[in-house]
Amino acid sequence: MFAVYKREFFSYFRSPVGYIALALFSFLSGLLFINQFGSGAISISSEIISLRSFFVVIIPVITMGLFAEDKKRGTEILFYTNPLSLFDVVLGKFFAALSLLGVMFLNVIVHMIITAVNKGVVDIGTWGSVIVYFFLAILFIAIGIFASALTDSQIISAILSFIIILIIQLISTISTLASSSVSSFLSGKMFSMDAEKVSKAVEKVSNGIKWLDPFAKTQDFRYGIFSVAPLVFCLSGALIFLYLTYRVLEKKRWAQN
Amino acid sequence: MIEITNLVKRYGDKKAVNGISFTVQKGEVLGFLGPNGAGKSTTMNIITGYLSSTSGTVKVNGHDILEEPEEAKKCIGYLPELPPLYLDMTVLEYLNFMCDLKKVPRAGRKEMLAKILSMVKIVDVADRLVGNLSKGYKQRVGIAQALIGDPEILILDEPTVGLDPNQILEIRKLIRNLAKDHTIILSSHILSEVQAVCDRVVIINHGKVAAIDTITDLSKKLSGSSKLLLSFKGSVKDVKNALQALPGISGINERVSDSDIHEIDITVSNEKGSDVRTSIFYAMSKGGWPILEFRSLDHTLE
Amino acid sequence: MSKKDLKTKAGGEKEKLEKDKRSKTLQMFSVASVIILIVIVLFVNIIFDVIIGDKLTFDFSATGQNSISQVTEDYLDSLPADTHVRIVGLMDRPVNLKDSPYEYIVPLLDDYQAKSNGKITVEYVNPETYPSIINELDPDSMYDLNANTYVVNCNGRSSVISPIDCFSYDQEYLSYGQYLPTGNLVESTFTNAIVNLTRGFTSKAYFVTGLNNTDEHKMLSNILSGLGIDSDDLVSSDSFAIPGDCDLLIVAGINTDISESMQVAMIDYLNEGGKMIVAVDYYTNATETYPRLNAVLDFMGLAVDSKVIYENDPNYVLSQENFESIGVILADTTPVRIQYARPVTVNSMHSYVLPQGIIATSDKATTVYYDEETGKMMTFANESQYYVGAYSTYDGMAEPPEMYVFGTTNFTSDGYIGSYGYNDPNAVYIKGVIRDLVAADDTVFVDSKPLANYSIDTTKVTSSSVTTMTFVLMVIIPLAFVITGTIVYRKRKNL
Repeated sequence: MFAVYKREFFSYFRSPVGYIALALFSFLSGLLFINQFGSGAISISSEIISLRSFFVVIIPVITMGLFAEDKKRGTEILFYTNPLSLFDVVLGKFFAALSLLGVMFLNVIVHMIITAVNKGVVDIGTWGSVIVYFFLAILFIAIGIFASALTDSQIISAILSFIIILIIQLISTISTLASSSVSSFLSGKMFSMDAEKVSKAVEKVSNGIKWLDPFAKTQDFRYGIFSVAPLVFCLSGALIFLYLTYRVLEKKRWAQN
Repeated sequence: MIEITNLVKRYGDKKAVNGISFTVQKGEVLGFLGPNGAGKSTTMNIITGYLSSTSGTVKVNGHDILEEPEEAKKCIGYLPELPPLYLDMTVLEYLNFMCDLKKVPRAGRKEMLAKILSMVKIVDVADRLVGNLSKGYKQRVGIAQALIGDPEILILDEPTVGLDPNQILEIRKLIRNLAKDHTIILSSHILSEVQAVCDRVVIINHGKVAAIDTITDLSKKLSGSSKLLLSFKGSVKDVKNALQALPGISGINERVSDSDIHEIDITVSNEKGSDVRTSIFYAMSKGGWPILEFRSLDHTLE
Repeated sequence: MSKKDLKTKAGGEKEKLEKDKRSKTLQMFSVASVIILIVIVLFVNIIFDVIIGDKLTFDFSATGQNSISQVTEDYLDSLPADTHVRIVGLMDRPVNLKDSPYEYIVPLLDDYQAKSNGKITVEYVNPETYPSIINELDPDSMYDLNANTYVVNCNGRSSVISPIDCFSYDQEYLSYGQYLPTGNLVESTFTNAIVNLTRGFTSKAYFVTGLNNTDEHKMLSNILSGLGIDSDDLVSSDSFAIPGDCDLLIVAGINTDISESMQVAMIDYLNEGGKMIVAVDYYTNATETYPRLNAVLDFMGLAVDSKVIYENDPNYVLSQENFESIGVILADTTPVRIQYARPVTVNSMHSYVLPQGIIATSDKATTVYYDEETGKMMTFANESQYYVGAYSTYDGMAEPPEMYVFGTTNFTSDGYIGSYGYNDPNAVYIKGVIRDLVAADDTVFVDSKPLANYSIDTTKVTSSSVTTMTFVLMVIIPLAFVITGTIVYRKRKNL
């Protein structure tokens, strides 16, 4: 696992891609920070939460090549024909991407120090946001890696993970929209069902969908209220995608088409 | 060393490998001969654990590739048809990565790498980017990669394809060198290459084993039904009559005629094992027909 | 087709099925393992979510909101054992505390009761159910008691506290009609009430009102009350007179000049050794020049100008808005925030008048004034250091008059103290000024507790520091990465 991790992590810095991603992230986080600094009130939590919305772009970019490039160049054969488990390969690449995100996050640490020096608030809620940031990153990187293993084209992989992450980011909105439109549809003229029953049933469904929203689950962390269940949710979601990735790679061995 | 029994690999309705069985002895260099698409690469991919067979077993050093993959893979160094190179790394970075991947202990790694670098003659490009190397050097880096971890078995899939004649000779020399202390399986679609480096040869066609034989036996068989090309001055008819009288010649075809210079194919069926070429020469000189060219036609499986 | 052919074909089919078994098994295993994993994961998540989720939720949020501080505890300990303070909430005991002001009040009051050794009792009595409670607490109908307020009662005297008074609010949100509490004053309010009821006020301050005052100086009253000073309003009128018990006269945030009778009364007051705090700013009424107020100030060798200070040193300019900048307390170089300040001039015409500047701008400041004809700000080119605050007293008097003059309301206004809190350097400074003028002995002062207040020390947010920060964070750091990337790329490309 460590061999793959080392290669993938340093390969970000062998080409300009890693540096450009770092520069972009520094610029964006700097912009968010300076805006707050200029207004005289700095909430690192809201900076981190704003940065989270860039996941939809950052994570596809840093994960798209992880398996797609190996497939394209034929180097994936190394993982199959050398004495190591494919799951170790998946984990190695996963931690490489996570580490790159960690390096990017050093910017925010610098912002925290500046805030603290200026007698601003770096409280438990800030650290809660940091924890949530990384657990969401874990989930999304796993998704990105899965997308990368499905295809040998970096572009297709990036688009796939972009779409999945976008859907997850919009889950709450989608479920609200869907439930209101479905309930009005069902209780409308065509079906003329009992409005109360319909709305109850639809609410259950939309609650079920909302249950899958990692953002809603983790929103209390920024207020310093830490809960284990949402973290378990993110980790287990990541585990499922990593395992699926492993299975997709393994499939290549026995697939007959 | 390697035992392959009844290997089948199916892709959809097509069987890329259809019941191949053979064994490789320790220290042997086995040639894997067959036209393109015969199933050579698929077989090699199965032996190295890249693909799993539809049925049949592969045992490497007694370890089944499906049941004890890690043990089996430890014994094998593999150079696939397309060398698995990371173009964004330098040669040394890449080989170090391969050491990590094969779990080579850190102690003694430097010496091992130095040995491999000088063995495959890539010392002078060690700090260059793999992507900037010529095809011949890339192939050598591929071989170097297979040598890491000192595996007992080397599996080389078409190691000379796409190289220029000079590079081919060098790679062949390298393989002969490696053969001294490795068991090697080498695939090729060129007979002469297999003849040049292998002890034994497995010929496959359409996913099946067509023949397994030692090189010497194979050469005999091949020369037993070989063709010779003869170009001379004189009357075709006279020559035909003279030669057909000789034992061991089963057919003569006229190829090209240009005024009094003629070229003929002679099909030889030499069952007795003696060389028919000597008797042809004497027959020609006796008849007073000057020989302009006289050579055996090359055998390839293409 | 012969029989034999058919037979081998059938055999081939059978063989095919058998030989596919391995990949079928692998496929089954693959799919099954994924399904089993998903089931396990769902199961674990449901367990965590529904069954043990609540136990594994930890509240690490800012602590100390709901327990009394050492200052209060020490004061309660110092009270005689037979003291009895009743805190009565005129309501049913609130149950749904979350997201209501009572979230911070109810548990804190319980803590008062718990830590007071019986000196304090907390009750909740709904006056609608028990109307007699009003009469019991306020037999003379002095306090106009209403439901949903708290009454602190001791020795027959009462103090009324409304939950809305227990917080400070963000100024910006106030202007939108929304309240965003930023400071928790619950403990400070109740402790002050208890202190004042048990000890009584030691001094009295009067606010001069009725001159288009900017606000109701609630925050400054709280500060005074915390310092053991009672305060009252003194409305401007023709028969304006300063009461004899006045220890401190505050003229803060007025927007019209004082009347002639007030001018006379104030000079008389000063003659008798009166203490005054005067604070006027520029932006609430730019055209007012306060000739009569300046006549009073002149008595102390001071004056406020009709211009506005314009700060030119980027190290002093705060970035939010124009004319907001840093002033420096000359005594200890503490930075304080000033905004639309008028310059205060110091001019001693008698040797016994001792005016001195106390808060100053940088020495690169200039003044501007509003030209009514052109409607533009006109700059005076006289670059120098200006005073924003000044102090003056008389020499050689047993009871000398004293006066603090500020060319800004940033030390006295509700707007300022409300948004920056009682621990802001400006508020701390005005507390010192009041203590200095009214010699109050051992006061009990409980600081407000911040509620999600992300303000930083904004005196550091000067335009030069913002520029530097922008340059470093948004130019240098990203550029450093790009340059490193380019160097690495160029180097490796040709390896």
